Order: sequence, then structure tokens, then C-alpha cells
Amino acid sequence: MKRILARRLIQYGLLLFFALAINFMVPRLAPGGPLQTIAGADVGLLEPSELAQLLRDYGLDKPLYEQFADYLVQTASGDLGYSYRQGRPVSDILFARIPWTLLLAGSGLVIATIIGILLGAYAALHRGSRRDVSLTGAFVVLQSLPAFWIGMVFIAIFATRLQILPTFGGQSIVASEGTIEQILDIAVHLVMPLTVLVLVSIPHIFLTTRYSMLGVLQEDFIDTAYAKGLRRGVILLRHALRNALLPVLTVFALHLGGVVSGATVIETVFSYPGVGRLIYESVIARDFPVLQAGFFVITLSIVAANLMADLLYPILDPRVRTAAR
Amino acid sequence: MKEDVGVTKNLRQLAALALSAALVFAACETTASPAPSGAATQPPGTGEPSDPSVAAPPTQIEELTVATFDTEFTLTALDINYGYPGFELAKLQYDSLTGIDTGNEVREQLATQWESNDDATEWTFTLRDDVTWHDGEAFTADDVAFTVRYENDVVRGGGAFTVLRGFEAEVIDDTHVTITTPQPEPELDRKLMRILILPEHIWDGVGDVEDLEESNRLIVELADHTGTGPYMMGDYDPDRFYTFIANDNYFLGPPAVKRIVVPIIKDTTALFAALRSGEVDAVVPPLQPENIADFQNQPNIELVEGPTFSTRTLQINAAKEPFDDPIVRRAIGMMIDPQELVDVVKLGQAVIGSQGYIHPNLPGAVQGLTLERDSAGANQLLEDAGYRDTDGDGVRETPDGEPMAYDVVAWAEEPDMIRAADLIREWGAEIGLDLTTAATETNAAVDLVWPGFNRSESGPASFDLAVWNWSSGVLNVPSQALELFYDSDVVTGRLNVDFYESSEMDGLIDSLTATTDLDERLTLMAQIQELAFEDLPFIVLWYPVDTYAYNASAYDGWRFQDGLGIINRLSFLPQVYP
Repeated sequence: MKRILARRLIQYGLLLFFALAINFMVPRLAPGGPLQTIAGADVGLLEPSELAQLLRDYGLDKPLYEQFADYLVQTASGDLGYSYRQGRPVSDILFARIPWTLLLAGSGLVIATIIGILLGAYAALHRGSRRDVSLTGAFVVLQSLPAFWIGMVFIAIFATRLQILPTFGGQSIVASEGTIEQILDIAVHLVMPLTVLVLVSIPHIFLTTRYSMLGVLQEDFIDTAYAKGLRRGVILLRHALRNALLPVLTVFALHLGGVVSGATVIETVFSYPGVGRLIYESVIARDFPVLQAGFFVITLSIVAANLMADLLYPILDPRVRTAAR
Repeated sequence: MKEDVGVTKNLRQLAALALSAALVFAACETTASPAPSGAATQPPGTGEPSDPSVAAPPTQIEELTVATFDTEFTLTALDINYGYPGFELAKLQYDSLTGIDTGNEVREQLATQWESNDDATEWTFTLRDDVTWHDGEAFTADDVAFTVRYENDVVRGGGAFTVLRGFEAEVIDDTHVTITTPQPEPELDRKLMRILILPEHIWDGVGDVEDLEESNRLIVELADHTGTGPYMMGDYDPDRFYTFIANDNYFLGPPAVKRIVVPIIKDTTALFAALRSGEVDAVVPPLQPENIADFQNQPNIELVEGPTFSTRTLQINAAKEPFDDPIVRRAIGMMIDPQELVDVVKLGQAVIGSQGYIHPNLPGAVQGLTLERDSAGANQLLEDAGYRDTDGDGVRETPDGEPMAYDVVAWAEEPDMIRAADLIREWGAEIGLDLTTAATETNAAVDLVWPGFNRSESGPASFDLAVWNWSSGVLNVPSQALELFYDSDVVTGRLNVDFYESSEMDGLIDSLTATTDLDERLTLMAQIQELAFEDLPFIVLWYPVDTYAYNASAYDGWRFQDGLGIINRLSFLPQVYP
């Protein structure tokens, strides 16, 4: 186990380095640059010497390899730099948003996974029945609907027409007094974006669980379990579902890594203060420091999630443990 | 009694003294009381004494919620987006020497009077003596001089700096300051309405370092909002909202709303949904033309429309053949149907573009410089000039044999630009041009047309044609907007992204820059516009007409400012420039 962990850590360390290099290069490959972001709407009125001074003082006139070296040194020291767009430390901006993203996307993933697994298993057990066809059909349709459209329908119904839920934000502008009231305020603002996120996330988990479950139910060991006289519930939970969940774990780990990147579209529709929208805005503005930091945090989370999956798999599946030996 | 007599005598003397003092004060007030403001055609260099036309202050309402669509950062005078609505929100907290009324005429603000020397290189301003900063410190001429120095020595970038570049200021006394400019500035009073005056006692020394990045950081870090304006910044979070608290001691009277809350709603659909549901009372962005009919039927929602001074244009790269040929540019102009663009793309919510560039509503605009569609004429023009379809494929070739196939760049985030490009493509086919719409991400599209925002470094760009947007700021000073056509030097002609060349045009613009005589300036402006109409350096497609929606039962004091909309300080100061 320790050897596996050590090998994985070295592999992921190399992966991180390459990820840093890509994080650095990709924003700079896009046409355009951050000049207008730095200088503002009147950038066109600056004289060439003034524009050159800006580029110099922001280090953007240096050769790329020098800029990359500066970036590596900065990142290694934990300094994420300053946003071109806002002039504030990137760490302040990013870490103010991460909790909101974890709340929305993290909760969404957990809820969607639980519901997706339960419904997927249920559909598999009733394969071919009206219930199975209805559920599968509904989730296939749901998967094809764009998240922003679902969000707008929710706003139209619950915010505009019924006026029972707020249209925008993570919390009210006027802060509620008291912890309970604040929690309730945040919860009320979370209802619509979370519901939309869960609805668009369930289909993938459902379909993966259903197909995986169908495959496992065909296996000989399931017949053996029945032949041994085990109770149906025990067979389904301990034998079938446990084996069927292995691919679902892979899907979960993939989604888990992406949680930090948030749900850009949903955050935009509901003006939810998450990381996804921040990264989108930074792409438009070519705000390199925010982009680099954002991509780096996402990379770290994806790597961590994959590492977790790699470590969990041998625990859940003894065959993987044996093969590693 | 003797004492009584003495007391009586003292009282009489006191009364006489008081009466004399009252007479003196009355006389002073009469002298200082400015006369009503002059008309729009006052000669440049002279601000006539004026009263601010302040009526009685309004009854205040408690709170108003106005939603915007993006952050405006810390929203100090030094950390704003100079576009809309950031600058308007900043102007709630600060004042300028001069202001503009809803018709965009220059009016007094911190300055009550101004005059210049003959060549408009030295301007002297008389300032109000009854203004205090939000922290109680007195506003004086020192603050004006400091602002000029600070922008030049410390800030060295941004909208205010591009106006004040090279200016110097000298304090005469607490209420008089002279600003000296390196070149004639006959419309300096108009330009100065974009300069927010800073408190010296707050900003002196802040960010005063050589490195611009570090300087900007220090300025952003301070995030001080002390101004002289009608509002003070309350709680804010640049990611979520701003609140503005009324300054009841404002020198022009308290504003009409005690507290303005500005939440940030990123998605436009959600923003308008919040207006419909009553969560907000007004919104910053205008309605899309296709949504106007829907909002007209909403209870409590009122609509108001008016002109903007941003411009949609078709830029033509005159640095590239065959667009350096005025005949080709004329043919492109003749293929376009400006009315169809307005009707189909903007659903009527626009004004046909004037090829002199200046909006027809602005002073100095020449009327009637509009294009008329004539595809047959365009075809004939090209045919006669040697641009013929020699191989019969429906696409003309240049005299050198190059097929006339070009890209029309449009910003992918702007649907009306893409629709316009599609129409232009269809019209192009009718005159033998093979045009392709190239919808491009905005930043990349800007880089294609105006690489590095720097004509001297980058040289001519590689684009062919581009549907483009010039912001309303270009028309802040209409005469200066004509530098869009200038080529002789890359600094003055920095907006000439097409590299259009005309010695005649440059000569006219040089003369305009040099003269301070109003009549002569108007004549030159007219000549420039007419030459632009003849030469067509680029095509002005339309000026948008914007429609704004608001909840009238929450607040009905909105004032539409031409070129800006309803979100402006005058909407909250109904007593000012009525």
C-alpha cells in the first residue's frame, strides 16, 4: 500500500508540473491579451509609450520562459498574484468563492449521486417494466435539456410568478441577524440553483448505475448467491450493488474533481458567487493570474479526487488489490 | 437711568452694526449669486457665471434597488470602469469641476465660473466655497491642483489621465485655480466633466511608486470613497452589491433617495426577471428590442427611451487592397440598406448612422449624411473601375485577378453584430463580393482589428471588414471624435484602426485642433464630416436607441440623459438643472 501511494504521489507530482505548464500557456495562446483589462475602457486613448510602460510594469513584455519561471517561483511560495481585473490578491478573490462553490456543487454532487444510485438500481431491478422505461426516458430527456434553460424556467415559475424564492445571489444583501437566520437565508437562496444542478447531474449517475447493475445481475455469482439461499435484499445490496458501484465510483471521482470548478452556467443564471463564473469572466478578460490560480486549484482537486479513487478501488475491489501484487 | 441710556445706546449701535452687516452680506450674496447659465452656443473658453438652477430639494424616499450586471470593482474614483454604468455610479460619490445636464450641455458643478485665454491653453476656474468632503474637510482649489498632479505623476493611466495628460494646475487661492494645457483645449470645460476631483488629504502619497502594477495595487488596497458627491458609499461587496447612502449636506441639496442598493445580477434574463417580480426597482441595462413589447404590458413597469452615443460601424481595412480604393468603399456603402438594418436587426430601436460620425443630436453634427441603397449603382461603379467577374462564378476579381472574397468579423457575444454581418454578406453577394461572416470571441475580434490598441507598434491589422462598436465615450467631445479619420501621427490618430489616409482630411483636423474660434470650429467640423461622407473611411451603421424599464410605483423621478440612459446622478437630484 505504501509503495502504491509513493508511486502515485510521484506520478501525480509530475502531472502537476505539466498541468502548471499548461495552465500557464493556454491563456496566453488565446488571441488578444489583458491590456484592456489592466488599462480600462480608455485603453485606446493611451499613447504607445504608456502602453509599453504598462506591459513592462506588469511583466508582460518579458520572454515567455521568464514569465513561466516567475510563475513557478510564485506558485511554489504560495503567492497566487494579483488579479488584473480587480487589483486584489487572487487568493482573496478565489477563496471567497470556493466555499460557495463547494456548497452548491458539492451538495449537488452528493444528492445527485444518492438519488442517481437509488433510482438506477431500482430501474435495473425492474428492467423492461413501465417504471424502468419511464425513468430511463425521463432522464435521457433531462440530460438533453440545457441547464440554463431549466434555470430560467425555475426563475419564471418560482421567482417571477409565485414569488416564493429569490431570483439571484447566494444570500440577501441585507445580512440576516443571527446564525440560524443566516443559515436559512443561504438555504433559501440555494434551493433553485441546487435543484437545477441536481436535475442535470442525476442522469449520468442514473444511467451508469442502471447499466452497471444490469451487467452485474447477469453474473454467475448472483445466481450462486440465490442458489445458496441468501435473502434478496442481501444479494442486491452486498453482492450486486457493491459490484455495480465500481464504475459509479469512477464517475463520482471525475465529478468530484470538477466540483471546485463549479457550475458556470448555473452560477451565471442565478448570480451565485462561485468559482465557475469567476473563471469564465477571467477568460473573457484574459486575467492571467486568476486563470492560472483557478486552473491550478481545479487541477489539484481533480488530481486529489483521482488519487482518492485510486486508493479506494483496491479497498472496494479485492481483484485490483491482487492484480497489483 | 444713566445705565439704561447706556444700554439703549449700545443696543442702538448694535442694531446699526447688525443692519450694516446684513446689508453688506446681502450685497455680497447678490454679487456672488451667479446669473442663470448661458446657452449652448457660448463661445469656447468662457463659462458664464451661472446659478445651478437649483429648485427646492425633493421629498426623499427611503430606499431604491437598482440591479446592475457586473462588478464595478471597489468603485472609488481611481478604481472604476470608465464605461457605463461604473462611471455614473462613481459620480454619485464625487463631483467634477463641470457637469452636464440631460441634454448634454456643460453646466457648473464644483466650479461656478470659468474663462480661458485666447488660445485656450490657460483656464481659470472659480470654485464654490460651500463644499465639504464627506469626512467634513473643506474642499478647496488645492484638491483640484492635487487631482491634476496625482493623475499625471501617480496614476499615469485610465480615463482621467488621458484627459489630464501634460496639464498643470496652479492654486491662486482657496476658490480659484488655473489649469494650463500643453495644447489648445477649446472644449476643456466639456472634457473636465469626466474628471472626478480627489481629496488631497486622503490620497496624497498613496501609490506614489514607480512601478505601475504596484501603484495600482496600493490604490485599490486603500479603497477610500471620500468624495463631495450626493452619496456616500455604504456597505459593499464587489462581487455582490453596492449601497449608497444620501449625503444630506450636499451643496446642491439632498438627493431624492436616502439609500440606493445596487445588487449585481450577472445574467440579463434573471436581472429582468427580478424587475418583473419586484425584487428590484430598476435595472441598469436597456431592454433588448425583442423584449420591449412584453414589458409594455407589465403592471407598474414604465418604459422610457432615448438616444445612445455608442456607434455600430463597419470598419474597412484601408491598409489592405482593394479597400484603399475609395471606389470599393463607396460601392460597399451603396450596397448597404441602413433602414433595413435598423428595422430587421434593431427592430426599429436605432437611428440610421450619419457618415460624418457625429450623432445627429449632438452639437456640430451635419444632418443628412446618410447612405442610400443602390446595388445597381454599386455594380456599375465596380464594373467601370475594373472589378469584374472574369470567370463567371458570380464573384468579382480585382484588376490583379484576386477574387473579391473577404471575411466580415463580428463579435460573437453581440447577436446584433452577427445579424448585421449576415445581412452585409447577403448584400455583398448582390454586387459580386463573396463575404463570410466570421463570428469571433470579442477579445480575439478586438485583437484582429486593433492589435495591442497600438497603431505604431502593431502596424496595419490583417482583417478585411469588421462590424465594430465605438463606445459613447468617443463622442464625449464631438469635435475630438473626428480624430477617428486622422492618419498623420499615430497618437492623435490612435482610433484610426483602418489606417485610412487622406492629407486633405488630416489638414482639416489639424486646423480644427489649432483654432479656438467657435464659428470656425463649426465650419471645419462640417467640412470634415462632409469629406468623410464622400470618402467613407468606414460605414456608420446605426446609433442604438435604448429603452429602459423601471418600477414606477417605487420611484418615478428618473431622468433620461442623452447618450447614457436613466442611471445617472441627475435621476436622484431632480432639483439640479431642472
